[in-house]
Amino acid sequence: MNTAWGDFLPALLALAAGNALTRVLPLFVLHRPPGPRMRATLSWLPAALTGMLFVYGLSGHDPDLGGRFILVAALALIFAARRITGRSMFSLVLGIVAYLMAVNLF
Amino acid sequence: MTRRYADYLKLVVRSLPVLSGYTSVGIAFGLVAVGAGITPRMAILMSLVVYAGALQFVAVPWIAGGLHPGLMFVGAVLINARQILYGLSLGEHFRSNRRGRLYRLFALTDETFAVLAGTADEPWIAHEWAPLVLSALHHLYWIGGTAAGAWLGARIESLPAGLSFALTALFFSLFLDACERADRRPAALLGFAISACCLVLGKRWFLPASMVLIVAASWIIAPHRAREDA
Repeated sequence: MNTAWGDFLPALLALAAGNALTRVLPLFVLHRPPGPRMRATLSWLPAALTGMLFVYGLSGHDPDLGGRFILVAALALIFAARRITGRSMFSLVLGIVAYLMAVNLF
Repeated sequence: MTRRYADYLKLVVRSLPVLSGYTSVGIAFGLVAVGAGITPRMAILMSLVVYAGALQFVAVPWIAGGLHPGLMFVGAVLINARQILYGLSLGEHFRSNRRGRLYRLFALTDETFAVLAGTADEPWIAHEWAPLVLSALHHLYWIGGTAAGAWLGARIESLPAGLSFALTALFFSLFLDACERADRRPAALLGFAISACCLVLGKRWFLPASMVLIVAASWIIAPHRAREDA
């Protein structure tokens, strides 16, 4: 069933507002720099949250043994392609295409 | 060809890797969104006004599951916290060139930041309009990819299996970006470890618990690490 506009618009507004806040905050911070603790925490958070997002992404998969093998192989392919080519976007696309082909063919 | 056009051509060439990446990940987003019951118009509107790849993917099940908008707002701030740092580290760039500054801050994605930070010494980026045009081009690629994915998703009977892997792959790529830098690696691994432990709490509480614990751990550990590194 499709999402209704009445449910979608408040969600869109909340996401856009949260996103906009992170973009506009530097404008204010540029005038009043944060203290050392806040600065250290802010510099630590982005990397820590990427770890969380990766676990979140993995938790969305509930494959069988064969599916797990394809998942790990695709992630290994992305890792190897990054190491060899040094291009993160290319390796990302390569990994996605390889995963989709493997999942839909086998 | 005048110097000005040659410089803008360089700008377009510089954005081509982002074109390939944004189009394919944008198509995946459009497909995932439509597959979850979000209409193509909604998906395109989301890419237009939110324009945050990881957040948009995460928000699809939130919208489909009817999560409270207040929680979505908090989630959006936490997931996009890195944007604050991008804006701060390009402070001089935004102070010296005020052309479309608000839009450029809004459109400062991971990839746009990488291109701007990596080309700061190149002459073409010194043009007053160049950063604005570059940001708008990247935004256009993302909207175009979303529109193509949403259009496809609305027309094919059944979506190919495994599309949600695009999200996992995107997060894995961001995680590797963080792990490749020695100063960010401990934070990325800590975030991974805390979140992996929080999985035992179940899908409902996993994200809120992870976010609270990561913010608390960062507040305690980060200042010590910063002192050690200094």
